[in-house]
Formats: sequence, structure tokens, C-alpha cells
Amino acid sequence: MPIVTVRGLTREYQQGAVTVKALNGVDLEIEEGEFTALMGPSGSGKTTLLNQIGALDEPTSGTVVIDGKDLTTLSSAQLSDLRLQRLGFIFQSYNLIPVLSAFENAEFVLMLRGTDAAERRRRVMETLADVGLTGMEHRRPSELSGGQQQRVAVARAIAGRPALILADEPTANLDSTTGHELIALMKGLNEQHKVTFVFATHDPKVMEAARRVVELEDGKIARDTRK
Amino acid sequence: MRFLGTMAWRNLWRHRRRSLITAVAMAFGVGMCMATLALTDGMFESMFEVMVEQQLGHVQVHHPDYPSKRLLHDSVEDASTILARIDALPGTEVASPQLNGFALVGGETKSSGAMLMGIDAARSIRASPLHERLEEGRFLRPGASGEILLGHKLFEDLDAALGEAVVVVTQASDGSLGNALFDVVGTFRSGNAQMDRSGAYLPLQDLQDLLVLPDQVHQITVLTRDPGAIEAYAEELSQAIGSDTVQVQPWWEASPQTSQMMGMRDFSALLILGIVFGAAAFGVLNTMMMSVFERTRELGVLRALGIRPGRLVWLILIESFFLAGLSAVIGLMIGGVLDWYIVVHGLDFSSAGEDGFSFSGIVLDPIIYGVVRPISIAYIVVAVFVVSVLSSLWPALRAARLRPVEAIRSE
Amino acid sequence: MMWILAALLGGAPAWGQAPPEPTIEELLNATDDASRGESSIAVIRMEIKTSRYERSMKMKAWSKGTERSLIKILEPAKDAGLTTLRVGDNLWNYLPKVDRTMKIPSGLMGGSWMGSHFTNDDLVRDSRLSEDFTYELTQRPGEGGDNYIVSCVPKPDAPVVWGKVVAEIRPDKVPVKVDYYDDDGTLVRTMSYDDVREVNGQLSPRIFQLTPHDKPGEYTRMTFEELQLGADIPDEMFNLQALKKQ
Repeated sequence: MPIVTVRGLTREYQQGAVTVKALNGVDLEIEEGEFTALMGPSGSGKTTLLNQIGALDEPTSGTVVIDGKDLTTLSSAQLSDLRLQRLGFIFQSYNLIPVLSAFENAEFVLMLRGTDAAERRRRVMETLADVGLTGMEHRRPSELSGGQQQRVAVARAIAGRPALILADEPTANLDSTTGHELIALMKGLNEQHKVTFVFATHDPKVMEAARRVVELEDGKIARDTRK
Repeated sequence: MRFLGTMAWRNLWRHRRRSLITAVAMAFGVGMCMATLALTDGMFESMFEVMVEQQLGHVQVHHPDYPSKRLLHDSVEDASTILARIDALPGTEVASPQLNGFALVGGETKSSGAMLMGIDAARSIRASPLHERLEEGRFLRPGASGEILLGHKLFEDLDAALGEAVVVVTQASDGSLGNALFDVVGTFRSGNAQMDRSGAYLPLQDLQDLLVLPDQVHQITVLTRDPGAIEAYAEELSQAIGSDTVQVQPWWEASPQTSQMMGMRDFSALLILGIVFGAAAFGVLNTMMMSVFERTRELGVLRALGIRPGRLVWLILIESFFLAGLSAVIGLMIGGVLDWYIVVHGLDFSSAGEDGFSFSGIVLDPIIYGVVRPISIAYIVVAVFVVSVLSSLWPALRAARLRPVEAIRSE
Repeated sequence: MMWILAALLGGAPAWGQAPPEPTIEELLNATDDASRGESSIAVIRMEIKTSRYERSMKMKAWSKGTERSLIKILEPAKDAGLTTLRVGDNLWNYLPKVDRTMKIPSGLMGGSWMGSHFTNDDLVRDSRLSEDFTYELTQRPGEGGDNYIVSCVPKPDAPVVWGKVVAEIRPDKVPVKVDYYDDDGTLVRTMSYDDVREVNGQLSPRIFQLTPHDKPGEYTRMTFEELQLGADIPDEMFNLQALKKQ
């Protein structure tokens, strides 16, 4: 059974008097263990689709089903809980909580879940080791480089072992080398821990690493290629 | 929830300057409130002393009709028996009887109408500060007779001299013309203009003889040992006396105006709190609004990570709670210093009036010393927290209502 | 009010020998002068009844002209020797117990005189119905009663506290009663005259009773036990020095 099933998804925006169809009848299934890139030019709808899958936005029509639950039937609090328990997010501009240390940022989701302290510590230390930040636990985001910050963001996303991680242009703010390292890191996590990744990106490096590339054009899926 | 506290605390220090300015501004409000309340408490305390303890007593005993009609005949009979019963009550500090009557007082050449007050000098000395308010001469000697103490204005009006005899003429209760000579032993300055112009104290027994009201008094003023338990005491006293023609009234029933005036204490406290914290509320609202506004993206991220809207409200409220705590701590320090000064040195209001600080005909000491009541400080501290949390409720609800997608995309 | 003074001073009634039809002015003068004379000496019993007390006093009163009078209490023993001197608008009390004389200040003129229903003011006011009032005859004998009834309203500047005074007078000019109304038209008090006797060839009431209507059951009644008219009273009696010597 797929983790995510998208059926007939449409999302329209009102821009003045004009109605913009950001998504126009998208059907998509994402299986466990995938490492999928949503590609396409600006305005093709890839970020919109990612937000729909991430339960951050409501569709104009159509459905997104995660774990067999139709998101349109869930309340705001239930959507919060779903994101907390099942989803992880990585953003283009890292979006770490500035007042929390690297450790605390990574720990945040576990905190919200109410995981006990010992377990939290074990998992966070392990995750920080996985992303190569051992020894930097106490640094604040402002004391870390962009690449390090994004690694913390990855750690925050995977520490809770979500079913699906959604990454929106995770490498866009990083230099090429750092970008490569991050992709390698995520790929490794995907292979090692079977973490499912979905990217919205136009970074060729991501496309190279992806095993499935979904190309969007004008809010529709143009090509869906598996390697 | 603890990590929400951690986050809130650290958020507070993110904009150190802004938070501190807000906190210090509120702290000044706290300090000013403390000082003002200490001052009004001090004023009301001295009003309580002057208007209640020195004039009304904690409890009054009189004929039920006397307060409204003030007729000579509406007196308490068998006064010595009733006094003995009052004295026997364990809650009694001191009971002071008084008989009143109007009279013509004549000096060698001039005469004037006067309000005679027959008192038991020994009891009066314990119950009232009258004996300390002498202008000239001395107070009535306990047990003596044929002595009179005149208001200083009355004394002047009569062209009297200390040691001289004045004649007192009055309509006695049996219709006869009571008249007798009294030696002027002293004069008093009470601060009450009417008393100073027409009041005259003389021994109770003498006035009873003069008015032909044997063993009768118009009122007995009682001070209790515990001013906090006046109501229960009055009840107990009423039963101990057990007479329909003798009424026992706590001071607030005896003088509703005074009670009303004393009730203004809470009103004035609320008014001060209201004004100061009304202003503070805008400060907090502004600070928290800005704080929420500039953190829109961060709050959106928190929502994406799966925090519930309700918890976001808590995060903001806890933040303002800390802000309030900070304000309270600084404010208590500022207020402590101000309170210390007002309590120790007092504030001089003598410019407000020549003889003192006049309030509804009652003259208070021109230097008002602050009185710090823990309850007043508690009010203020609670007010800081309530105002702070309430005024950040709106920003908090705004934070909770952010749509994650839009919030993350902002900036 | 002159009548109390007149009463207290036991003046001589100047009743005529029943001329055919008295003028209103004559009727009012007769009332004003019910017990006034050029000079008189009287012994009066004053009985006072109030809701609080009853007392009876015996007093001797001297009067000379309209301006001067002296009243000395003879009984009860407790008050004996108390003396009131009136000269014009001023009143003094002599208190034998303390051997002092006190002038009654203007502020206390409204107070009761010796516990009676008369005020100190009553002793000194000296208005005349025929002079200070405008009057009108409202009833003649035979018109629903045997007596004259005269209604009097004070002139604007008259020294009078009443709103209206109504006198009932017998055809032989002996007053029966006088009703006093306040400015609101409420009957405040009534002076009634009784026990008419012939003194020095003139008819004169011996009992004067004042009834205040706001105090039910109360009254002050004066009975003239002795009355000597036209007595020769030396002027020296009516001065402050003489007060103590009485």
C-alpha cells in the first residue's frame, strides 16, 4: 500500500481577478522507500504539490490520502498530529528554531510527541552522528554554517523516524560541494534506514540521485520516470 | 510543556532591548502603583483612625432613635449596668460613654450656644485622643466634678480665661432650667471646625445632674481588641446587653457615609491599577504583536513540524507570563524603594491646607505615612500577570490562526 | 407675639361698656390688650404638660409700659428666684443658684421659655393685630355663631412669623380664641381664653391656654391668680442691677 495517494488534485489561487490553477488534476502514488524528485520549471506546481502532500494546505478539489486517511476530513489538530507522527520537513532556508541548539532542534519533534528523555537523547545523538554533527550539539543555528544548519534540519526531520520526508529545494541555498554532501547524506539515510524522501527541486544533482523523477508542467504531471 | 517554557524564556531574550524596555516600563507602573497604594492605604488608615477609631469607635451603643433624631430623651438608661456588661466582655478594649446636650454657656461678659458632651474622663483618655488635642490648660481630671473643657474657638468667643467659671444653662429633661457653674480647665483643638466652635466637655455625672438624666447616656463608644472581628463582637455585645431599647451598631452601620468613604479605598486602588495597567497593556500588546509578526515564518515552521495551534497559544502566553514576571521583579524593587521612603519619611501634603489635610471636614495629619499591605502588593503583582497575559491573548490567537503554508512563505 | 407678653404681664383689659357695634379695630385692640395695662403686677400659675413631663410653676410678673417687664419664679422651690427681665427686644435670665445674669443670645430666642410652649421670642415680639395685619371680618354674631371672627394676614414688613391669624371675639369684645397658621396655611397653635371675670370693672379672661397642634396632648396654661392694675412700679425694677436684688 502506498504511503501517499493523490487523486484528481486541483489547487486554484485567486490572483486579483484571475484564477490560477497551480495544480490541475494530479494523480500520484508514493511508495515506502522511494527517493523521488518533483521537477519542473517555476510555477509548474511542484511546491504546491509538496505542500498538499505535507498536509500544510487544502486542495480546491481532489484528495490526498496518507495512511488511508483522507486529509480533507481531518481537523486542524488532527492534521498537526499527522504531521507530527508521520511527516518530516526540510526547507530551502533551513528554518531552524534560532533560540534552540542543534540538539534541541533535532529533539523538537520528539519533544512534541512526548517521548521520554532517555530515549530522546539516544535517538538525537544517534541522528546527529548520522548527519555528521557529533560535537556540535550545543551550537545555536547562528553558530553553524549553511550546510551544517541544513544537516540539523535533516536530523530534525528524520529523528522521529517519519514515514515520509518532504524536502523543498533543500540544496538551493548551498554551494555545490555542500549540496552534493547533503544529497549523499539523504541518499544514504534512504538506503540505510529506508526513509522515504520526496523532493521539490530543480537541482540536477538531486535529479541525478533520484530513483524516480516526476516532471510537472502547468500543474499536471508530464512525465513520471523511474530509474 | 517544559520545553515550551524554555523556548518562551529564550524568545524573551531574543530582543533583549525591546523586552527590557517593555519590562522596565511595566516595572515603573508596578513601582508607581505600589507607592500610590501605600500612600492611599496610609491615608485611609489614618482616616480610619481619625474617623472610625477616634470618633465612631468600632461599635456604638445607643438608643435606636438617637442617631436619627438626636433627641435628649432618646437615651440609654441604666448606663452603669450596661457599661459593666460591656466591660465584662472579653473582646472589649475600652468603652467610653457620652451624654450630649445643648446649652448656653456664659462667660463674664459674653455667652454662646454650645454642644455639651458629658464624658468619663478616665475612659475617654483610653478610648480617644481628645486629651492629646489640648490647646491650653489640662484635660478633665478623672473623678473630678465642676470642670469644663472648651473648644478653642468657643473659648475665644466667650472671652473666657483658664480657671474662670463659666455658667452653663440648659433646658433639662424635666422642663426646668438646668444651670451650674464650671471651671474652665482647658481648651482643645480637634480639627473639626464645628467641635472647636461649639464643643464643650464636662464630667458625665455633672451633665446627668444638669439635664436631670440620672444614669443615662446617649452613646457608648466601644473599641474592641480585634478590629478584624467587629461584626461578631457587635453580635455578642447585643446579646450581652439584651435590650430592645439599646441598639448595638458596628461603625459602618452607625455611619454609612464613613463606611462609603472607606469603601472608596478599594475603588481608588482599582482606579489606580486600572490606569497604570491600562497603559501597560498597550505596551505588552505592542511587544507581543511585533514578536508574533516578525516570527511568522518560524511559527509556520512550528506548525509544519506538527505543533498544535493550542500549544502555539501557550507558547506566546508563557512568553508574556515571563515578561510579566520580569516586570514584577524589577517593579517590586522599584516599588520597594519608593515604599520604603513613603513609610519611613512620609509625604508632606501641608501645602494642601493650612492646618492639615482636610477631608470632608476631618483634618488629617499633613504628613501622610505610607502603609504597605501585602494584599495591595498581591493585587499589583496579580494585575501585572493578568494584564500581560490578557493583552497577549490576541497576538497568541493570531499566531494560532496562521496558515502554515503562507506563514512559511512569508518574508 | 404680644399676647403672651400681655398675658404674662397681666395687663388691664380695656373692655368698654358694650357699645352697639364695635369696629373690627376695636375688637382686635381688645384682643391685643386682653391683659395689658399701663402697668401691672400679677401672680400667675403656669401649668405645662408635654409628652415628657408635667410641671407647674408659680410666678410673679411686673410690667410697665409695653417695653419693660420682669418675671420671677416663685415655685417650685428648685427654680425659685429664676428671673427673666425684658427690656425692649432683649431678654436676660438671672440664675440665683450661680448668681449670674445671662443675656439670651439671638440664636437661642427660638428656644423654649422655662420649658413651656412659649419661646423666648414670644416674650419680646410686639406686633399688634390692628396695626401689623390687614384684617377682614369673616363672621358676625348670628351668622352661624354667637361671636365675631376676624381673619388677619400680616403686612409684608410686619415682624410676624405667622401666615395668618384668626381671632374669635365675643360681642362684648372678650377674646375666645386665636388660631395661628404658618405660611403653608397649617394651623400651628391656638391660644384660648377662659374664665372671664370682672376686674376693675372690666371683663377679662383669667385663663390663657396655648395648645400646639403639632404635639397632641400638650399645652401650656396660665391662670392669673392675682392681678393688680395701675400699680406704681419704680423704673429701677427693670435694670440688670436690680435683677439680683429681687
